[in-house]
Amino acid sequence: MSDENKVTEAEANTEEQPAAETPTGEDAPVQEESAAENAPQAVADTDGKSDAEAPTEPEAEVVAEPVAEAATDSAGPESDAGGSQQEQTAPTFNRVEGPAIFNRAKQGNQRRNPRHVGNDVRIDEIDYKNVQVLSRFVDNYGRIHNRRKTRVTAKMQRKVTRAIKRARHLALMPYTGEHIRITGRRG
Amino acid sequence: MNTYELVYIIQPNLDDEGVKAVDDRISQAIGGEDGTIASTDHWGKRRLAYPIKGHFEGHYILHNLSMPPTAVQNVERQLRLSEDVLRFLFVRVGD
Repeated sequence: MSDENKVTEAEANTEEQPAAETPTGEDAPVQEESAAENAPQAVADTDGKSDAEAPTEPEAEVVAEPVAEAATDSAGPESDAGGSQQEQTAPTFNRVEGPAIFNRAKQGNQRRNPRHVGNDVRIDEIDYKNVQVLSRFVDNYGRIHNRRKTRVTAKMQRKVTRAIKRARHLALMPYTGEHIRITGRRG
Repeated sequence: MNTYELVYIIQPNLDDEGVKAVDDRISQAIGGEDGTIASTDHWGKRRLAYPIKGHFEGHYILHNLSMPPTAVQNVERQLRLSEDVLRFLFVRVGD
Protein backbone atom coordinates (compact mmCIF):
# COMPACT_ATOMS: atom_id res chain seq x y z
CA MET A 1 0.00 0.00 0.00
CA SER A 2 2.69 2.45 1.01
CA ASP A 3 4.71 1.50 -2.05
CA GLU A 4 1.80 2.33 -4.31
CA ASN A 5 1.35 5.64 -2.57
CA LYS A 6 5.00 6.49 -3.05
CA VAL A 7 4.79 5.59 -6.71
CA THR A 8 1.76 7.80 -7.24
CA GLU A 9 3.45 10.62 -5.38
CA ALA A 10 6.52 10.26 -7.54
CA GLU A 11 4.38 10.31 -10.66
CA ALA A 12 2.54 13.37 -9.46
CA ASN A 13 5.80 15.12 -8.76
CA THR A 14 7.25 14.23 -12.12
CA GLU A 15 4.10 15.63 -13.66
CA GLU A 16 4.58 18.79 -11.67
CA GLN A 17 8.16 19.12 -12.84
CA PRO A 18 7.37 19.99 -16.48
CA ALA A 19 4.69 22.39 -15.31
CA ALA A 20 7.32 24.19 -13.26
CA GLU A 21 9.55 24.42 -16.31
CA THR A 22 6.88 25.92 -18.58
CA PRO A 23 7.32 29.45 -17.16
CA THR A 24 10.95 29.40 -18.31
CA GLY A 25 9.71 28.16 -21.69
CA GLU A 26 7.37 31.14 -21.82
CA ASP A 27 10.24 33.47 -20.96
CA ALA A 28 12.30 32.28 -23.90
CA PRO A 29 9.63 33.13 -26.56
CA VAL A 30 9.29 36.60 -25.04
CA GLN A 31 13.00 37.17 -25.56
CA GLU A 32 12.74 35.92 -29.12
CA GLU A 33 9.83 38.27 -29.77
CA SER A 34 11.82 41.24 -28.50
CA ALA A 35 14.67 40.18 -30.78
CA ALA A 36 12.22 39.91 -33.67
CA GLU A 37 10.97 43.43 -32.89
CA ASN A 38 14.54 44.72 -32.95
CA ALA A 39 15.20 42.96 -36.22
CA PRO A 40 12.52 44.77 -38.28
CA GLN A 41 13.82 48.08 -36.96
CA ALA A 42 17.27 47.20 -38.16
CA VAL A 43 15.82 46.19 -41.50
CA ALA A 44 13.90 49.49 -41.71
CA ASP A 45 17.05 51.46 -40.91
CA THR A 46 19.01 49.65 -43.58
CA ASP A 47 16.10 50.19 -45.96
CA GLY A 48 16.28 53.94 -45.28
CA LYS A 49 20.00 53.84 -45.94
CA SER A 50 19.50 51.71 -49.03
CA ASP A 51 17.00 54.29 -50.37
CA ALA A 52 19.59 57.02 -49.90
CA GLU A 53 22.38 54.96 -51.34
CA ALA A 54 21.01 53.08 -54.31
CA PRO A 55 24.25 51.41 -55.47
CA THR A 56 24.93 49.92 -52.08
CA GLU A 57 21.37 48.69 -51.74
CA PRO A 58 22.17 45.05 -52.35
CA GLU A 59 25.11 45.23 -50.03
CA ALA A 60 23.05 47.05 -47.43
CA GLU A 61 20.36 44.45 -47.63
CA VAL A 62 22.98 41.76 -47.58
CA VAL A 63 24.61 43.41 -44.62
CA ALA A 64 21.31 44.20 -42.90
CA GLU A 65 19.88 40.74 -43.20
CA PRO A 66 22.90 39.10 -41.61
CA VAL A 67 22.73 41.66 -38.84
CA ALA A 68 19.05 40.97 -38.28
CA GLU A 69 19.68 37.27 -38.49
CA ALA A 70 22.65 37.68 -36.21
CA ALA A 71 20.45 39.61 -33.80
CA THR A 72 17.77 36.94 -33.88
CA ASP A 73 20.43 34.24 -33.82
CA SER A 74 22.25 35.85 -30.94
CA ALA A 75 18.96 36.29 -29.14
CA GLY A 76 17.88 32.77 -30.04
CA PRO A 77 20.96 30.95 -28.75
CA GLU A 78 20.92 33.06 -25.62
CA SER A 79 17.34 32.13 -24.87
CA ASP A 80 18.00 28.54 -25.85
CA ALA A 81 21.16 28.51 -23.78
CA GLY A 82 19.24 30.03 -20.90
CA GLY A 83 16.55 27.45 -21.30
CA SER A 84 19.04 24.61 -21.52
CA GLN A 85 20.89 25.93 -18.50
CA GLN A 86 17.63 26.12 -16.59
CA GLU A 87 16.77 22.65 -17.78
CA GLN A 88 20.14 21.43 -16.65
CA THR A 89 20.03 23.22 -13.36
CA ALA A 90 16.40 22.42 -12.59
CA PRO A 91 16.83 18.63 -12.26
CA THR A 92 19.93 19.00 -10.13
CA PHE A 93 18.01 21.45 -7.97
CA ASN A 94 15.19 18.97 -7.72
CA ARG A 95 17.64 16.21 -6.96
CA VAL A 96 18.73 18.17 -3.94
CA GLU A 97 15.39 19.35 -2.62
CA GLY A 98 12.66 18.09 -4.91
CA PRO A 99 10.48 15.54 -3.17
CA ALA A 100 9.97 13.19 -6.11
CA ILE A 101 13.56 12.30 -6.89
CA PHE A 102 14.50 12.52 -3.24
CA ASN A 103 11.87 9.92 -2.41
CA ARG A 104 13.04 7.74 -5.26
CA ALA A 105 16.63 7.93 -4.03
CA LYS A 106 15.43 7.21 -0.50
CA GLN A 107 13.58 4.14 -1.73
CA GLY A 108 16.70 2.92 -3.46
CA ASN A 109 18.75 3.53 -0.34
CA GLN A 110 16.26 1.65 1.77
CA ARG A 111 16.50 -1.29 -0.57
CA ARG A 112 20.28 -1.29 -0.43
CA ASN A 113 20.64 -0.19 3.16
CA PRO A 114 21.40 -3.13 5.46
CA ARG A 115 19.66 -1.37 8.32
CA HIS A 116 16.12 -2.69 7.97
CA VAL A 117 13.14 -2.55 10.25
CA GLY A 118 13.95 -5.53 12.40
CA ASN A 119 17.70 -5.70 11.92
CA ASP A 120 18.66 -4.73 15.45
CA VAL A 121 15.78 -6.52 17.18
CA ARG A 122 16.80 -9.53 19.21
CA ILE A 123 14.52 -12.52 19.08
CA ASP A 124 13.88 -12.49 22.83
CA GLU A 125 12.61 -8.91 22.51
CA ILE A 126 9.69 -10.13 20.44
CA ASP A 127 6.80 -10.32 22.86
CA TYR A 128 3.15 -9.37 22.66
CA LYS A 129 3.69 -6.98 25.57
CA ASN A 130 6.55 -5.15 23.83
CA VAL A 131 4.37 -2.89 21.72
CA GLN A 132 7.15 -0.39 21.08
CA VAL A 133 9.18 -2.95 19.14
CA LEU A 134 6.20 -4.58 17.46
CA SER A 135 4.87 -1.27 16.14
CA ARG A 136 7.96 -1.05 13.93
CA PHE A 137 6.76 -4.15 12.05
CA VAL A 138 3.46 -2.51 11.20
CA ASP A 139 2.52 0.18 8.67
CA ASN A 140 0.44 3.28 9.28
CA TYR A 141 -2.75 1.30 8.82
CA GLY A 142 -1.74 -1.28 11.42
CA ARG A 143 -0.99 -3.95 8.83
CA ILE A 144 1.93 -6.30 9.40
CA HIS A 145 4.90 -5.75 7.07
CA ASN A 146 5.89 -8.68 4.89
CA ARG A 147 9.33 -10.23 5.05
CA ARG A 148 10.48 -8.28 2.01
CA LYS A 149 10.01 -5.15 4.10
CA THR A 150 11.15 -6.37 7.47
CA ARG A 151 14.11 -8.41 6.20
CA VAL A 152 14.04 -10.63 9.26
CA THR A 153 14.43 -14.40 9.30
CA ALA A 154 11.41 -16.60 8.76
CA LYS A 155 11.60 -17.72 12.38
CA MET A 156 11.62 -14.12 13.55
CA GLN A 157 8.79 -13.16 11.22
CA ARG A 158 6.61 -15.96 12.59
CA LYS A 159 7.27 -14.78 16.13
CA VAL A 160 6.60 -11.17 15.22
CA THR A 161 3.35 -12.02 13.46
CA ARG A 162 2.11 -14.10 16.36
CA ALA A 163 3.08 -11.43 18.88
CA ILE A 164 1.31 -8.69 16.91
CA LYS A 165 -1.84 -10.79 16.69
CA ARG A 166 -1.78 -11.38 20.43
CA ALA A 167 -1.21 -7.68 21.07
CA ARG A 168 -4.18 -6.89 18.83
CA HIS A 169 -6.37 -9.24 20.82
CA LEU A 170 -5.47 -7.35 24.00
CA ALA A 171 -6.16 -3.98 22.33
CA LEU A 172 -2.49 -3.07 22.71
CA MET A 173 -2.30 -2.62 18.93
CA PRO A 174 -4.97 -1.72 16.36
CA TYR A 175 -6.46 -4.20 13.93
CA THR A 176 -7.28 -1.62 11.24
CA GLY A 177 -6.73 1.99 10.27
CA GLU A 178 -10.29 2.62 11.41
CA HIS A 179 -9.19 1.81 14.96
CA ILE A 180 -6.38 4.34 14.65
CA ARG A 181 -8.84 6.93 13.37
CA ILE A 182 -11.24 6.29 16.26
CA THR A 183 -8.67 6.39 19.03
CA GLY A 184 -6.52 9.01 17.32
CA ARG A 185 -3.23 7.22 17.89
CA ARG A 186 -1.33 4.04 17.20
CA GLY A 187 -0.78 1.22 19.62
CA MET B 1 2.34 -28.23 35.76
CA ASN B 2 2.90 -25.69 33.02
CA THR B 3 3.86 -22.08 33.34
CA TYR B 4 1.41 -19.60 31.89
CA GLU B 5 1.02 -15.91 31.39
CA LEU B 6 -2.42 -14.48 31.92
CA VAL B 7 -3.33 -10.92 30.95
CA TYR B 8 -6.83 -9.61 31.34
CA ILE B 9 -8.48 -6.23 30.89
CA ILE B 10 -10.92 -4.99 33.50
CA GLN B 11 -13.45 -2.34 32.57
CA PRO B 12 -12.30 1.20 33.40
CA ASN B 13 -15.26 2.37 35.49
CA LEU B 14 -14.20 0.31 38.50
CA ASP B 15 -12.12 1.96 41.22
CA ASP B 16 -9.04 0.38 42.75
CA GLU B 17 -11.09 -1.70 45.18
CA GLY B 18 -13.30 -3.02 42.41
CA VAL B 19 -10.25 -3.96 40.36
CA LYS B 20 -8.75 -5.66 43.38
CA ALA B 21 -11.99 -7.60 43.96
CA VAL B 22 -11.93 -8.93 40.38
CA ASP B 23 -8.23 -9.70 40.68
CA ASP B 24 -8.82 -11.61 43.93
CA ARG B 25 -11.66 -13.59 42.40
CA ILE B 26 -9.49 -14.70 39.47
CA SER B 27 -6.56 -15.44 41.76
CA GLN B 28 -8.80 -17.59 43.94
CA ALA B 29 -9.99 -19.48 40.86
CA ILE B 30 -6.36 -20.15 39.95
CA GLY B 31 -5.53 -21.18 43.53
CA GLY B 32 -8.58 -23.45 43.63
CA GLU B 33 -7.17 -25.36 40.64
CA ASP B 34 -3.85 -26.11 42.38
CA GLY B 35 -2.22 -23.22 40.56
CA THR B 36 0.35 -20.89 42.08
CA ILE B 37 0.81 -17.29 41.04
CA ALA B 38 4.49 -16.48 40.75
CA SER B 39 4.12 -12.75 40.15
CA THR B 40 1.44 -10.17 39.48
CA ASP B 41 1.87 -6.95 37.54
CA HIS B 42 -0.73 -4.20 37.45
CA TRP B 43 -0.16 -2.12 34.35
CA GLY B 44 -2.74 0.37 35.54
CA LYS B 45 -5.34 2.08 33.38
CA ARG B 46 -4.29 2.06 29.73
CA ARG B 47 -5.91 3.44 26.61
CA LEU B 48 -7.21 0.68 24.36
CA ALA B 49 -6.14 0.61 20.72
CA TYR B 50 -9.80 0.21 19.79
CA PRO B 51 -13.01 0.36 21.83
CA ILE B 52 -14.17 -2.86 23.51
CA LYS B 53 -17.81 -2.91 24.61
CA GLY B 54 -17.88 0.88 24.36
CA HIS B 55 -14.88 1.32 26.64
CA PHE B 56 -11.83 3.25 25.47
CA GLU B 57 -9.69 2.42 28.49
CA GLY B 58 -9.06 -0.59 30.69
CA HIS B 59 -7.16 -1.85 33.70
CA TYR B 60 -4.52 -4.34 32.60
CA ILE B 61 -3.39 -7.10 34.97
CA LEU B 62 -0.67 -9.63 34.21
CA HIS B 63 -0.19 -12.88 36.15
CA ASN B 64 2.75 -15.23 35.80
CA LEU B 65 1.53 -18.56 37.15
CA SER B 66 2.04 -22.27 37.06
CA MET B 67 -0.96 -24.52 36.81
CA PRO B 68 -1.90 -28.01 35.63
CA PRO B 69 -3.06 -27.93 32.00
CA THR B 70 -6.53 -29.21 32.83
CA ALA B 71 -7.16 -26.16 35.03
CA VAL B 72 -6.91 -23.66 32.19
CA GLN B 73 -10.42 -24.43 30.99
CA ASN B 74 -11.96 -23.70 34.38
CA VAL B 75 -10.06 -20.47 34.89
CA GLU B 76 -11.03 -19.32 31.42
CA ARG B 77 -14.66 -20.08 32.28
CA GLN B 78 -14.38 -17.87 35.36
CA LEU B 79 -12.90 -15.07 33.24
CA ARG B 80 -15.73 -15.34 30.72
CA LEU B 81 -18.39 -15.31 33.46
CA SER B 82 -17.04 -12.10 34.92
CA GLU B 83 -18.66 -9.15 33.16
CA ASP B 84 -15.98 -6.75 34.35
CA VAL B 85 -13.32 -8.61 32.34
CA LEU B 86 -13.33 -7.19 28.83
CA ARG B 87 -10.59 -9.41 27.38
CA PHE B 88 -8.10 -11.99 28.53
CA LEU B 89 -5.16 -13.84 27.04
CA PHE B 90 -3.80 -17.15 28.28
CA VAL B 91 -0.34 -17.97 26.95
CA ARG B 92 1.82 -20.95 27.81
CA VAL B 93 5.36 -19.69 28.38
CA GLY B 94 8.35 -21.40 26.85
CA ASP B 95 6.82 -22.67 23.63
